[in-house]
Amino acid sequence: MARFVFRRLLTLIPTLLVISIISFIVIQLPPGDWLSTYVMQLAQSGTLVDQAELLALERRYAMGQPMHIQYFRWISRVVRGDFGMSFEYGQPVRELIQERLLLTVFISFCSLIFSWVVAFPIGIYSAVKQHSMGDYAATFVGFLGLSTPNFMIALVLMYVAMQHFGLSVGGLFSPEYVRAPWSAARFFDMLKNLWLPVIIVGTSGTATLIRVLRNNLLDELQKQYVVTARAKGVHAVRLTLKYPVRMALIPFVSVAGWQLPELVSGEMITAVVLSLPTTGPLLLSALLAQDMYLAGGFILLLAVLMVIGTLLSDILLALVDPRIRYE
Amino acid sequence: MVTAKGLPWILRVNDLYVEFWTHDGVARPVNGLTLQVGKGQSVGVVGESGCGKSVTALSVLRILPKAARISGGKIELQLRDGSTRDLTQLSTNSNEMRRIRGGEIAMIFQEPMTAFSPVHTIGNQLCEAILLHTDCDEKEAKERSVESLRSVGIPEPHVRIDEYPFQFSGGMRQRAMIAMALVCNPRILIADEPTTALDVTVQAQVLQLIKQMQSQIGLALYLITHDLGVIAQMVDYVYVMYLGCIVEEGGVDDIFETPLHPYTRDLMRSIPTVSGERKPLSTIGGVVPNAYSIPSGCSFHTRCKDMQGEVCRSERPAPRRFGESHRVSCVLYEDAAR
Repeated sequence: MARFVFRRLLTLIPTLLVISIISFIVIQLPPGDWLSTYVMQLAQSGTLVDQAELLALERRYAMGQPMHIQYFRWISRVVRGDFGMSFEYGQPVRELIQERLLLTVFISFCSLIFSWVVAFPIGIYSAVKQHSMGDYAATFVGFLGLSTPNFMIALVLMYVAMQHFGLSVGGLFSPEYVRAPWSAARFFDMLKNLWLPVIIVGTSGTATLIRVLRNNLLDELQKQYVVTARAKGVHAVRLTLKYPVRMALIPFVSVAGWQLPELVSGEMITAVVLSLPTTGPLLLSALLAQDMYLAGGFILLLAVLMVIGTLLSDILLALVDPRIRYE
Repeated sequence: MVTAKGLPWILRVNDLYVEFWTHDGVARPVNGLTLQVGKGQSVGVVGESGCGKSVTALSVLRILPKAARISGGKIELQLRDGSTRDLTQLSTNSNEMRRIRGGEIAMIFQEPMTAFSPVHTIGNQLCEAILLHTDCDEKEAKERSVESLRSVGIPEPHVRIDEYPFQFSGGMRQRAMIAMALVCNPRILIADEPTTALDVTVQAQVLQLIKQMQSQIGLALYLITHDLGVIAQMVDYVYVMYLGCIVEEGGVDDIFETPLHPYTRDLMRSIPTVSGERKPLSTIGGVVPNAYSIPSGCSFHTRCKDMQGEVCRSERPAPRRFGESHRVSCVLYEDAAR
């Protein structure tokens, strides 16, 4: 197992390298360099441009140097956690992304847990009691959840909460905590506002999960090993959980890690609708405003998350399926 | 009542009917089947694919698929304490039925490749059976598992026990399967085509092993196969099954030397022989009718070379006795029966 993980980690290095190069190309694609844009912005706002500072910046980002040197400067900074400046916000990219990323991951993680907790029993029930009323109900609701866009559910839920319960559900914090520094009170305030985005973001995932689990499980329930276990005298419930459910999870685990980048970009529209302080809206505006360091930083981050997600998936898969581990 | 060979019976299936409710209608894979297995006896059930051999076995263990139900008949089992249970009256998931499965009646299957869960170790799956049916703790269960793997001839059982099924060869897997079936000392072993999926050389070893285990622990064997060679080698009493009922039964010598039912005779003719002149292998004309539309009367009449006319189409022949234990259900022998 350790060897397996080590091997997989080794293959990460070239992948990450290629990803960083592509991200850098994306940053370089818009015409002109960001420094001149920066100077222009400063001049426009009437601020005096300090020549010494300009030179320092030029040296720092290796402006005017060949591409590969620029790339090297950029990547060596990125490795140390400096993603450059955002023109749009006039702030370091890192500062912009950091808190939002944490919130995003937190919301997404909660949604993931939510969808697993909801989908597992329903999916298993649906498969074991195939063609029962419960199965039909779950299938119906599942398809509904699958085919309704998340932002639509968000709008409807917001309307209902507003109209019938007088709740303001936009944002992740009550007004008095929006700009407050982190504290226990702010955290609990967030938890209070969390349920709605979690449900909304989790809905389509839950629906997909129910369908996938049901179908996988229906396949597995037919398998010979189930008959063997029954012939041994294993109790039906225990049997289902130990054998076919375990097997049904395998294809599922193999793609679970791909949800990681989805977590960052997936709830974008929902986040805009609900005005959540997560990464989605920021990425959207960075792309719209051609805010290249911000967008580049995002793209790099998403790609890295994708790679890490795949790695986690592979490790999980090896844990649940010995056939992979021993290959 | 005793079995034909004078042994006290342990399992008795009486006039069993099984139905499958599917989208295409009702299939009737078992139609009034009657057979019995004596204590320690080796009984073979032979017939073509799809004649209901496996369904009968699954009915005995009450592990039929959800779409199936037993619609008539009795399955009586003599328990260790001497009392008798009608298994059709027990609920499939009841504690008593689960104790019987694996504890009284164990089963091994055709496909050793798929019969184990691929993601649990052999040891895990063996211990599960022991923990279910005995008071052993996990350590004892593991020791017993190792012992049982050793007894079926698996080398280095203490190592192999922690391996996964895909690390076993087909033959080894079937050995492990036998070990798992016998680990709780059942009194009946149902073997459903246990060697069909194996190489010929391995087949002989596995059959040998089953025989050896049987004589060691005085186990009754209920062997299902379409391979008459295996029947001849393994059992003392044969049931010939066609479309869910027994058309002929008798001691293995009776059946092989004087097959009576036209179906049995056709089966015998279709065995390839090594010696003698080379001629095209005999086959049975037509195909097995499907279980959705069982022919009326004698269900074999659609393919029978000795069809006697209307009587075969309309009347289901009753079993007639020939000699000590030979029985056949065919109008040809209506008058000749003693």
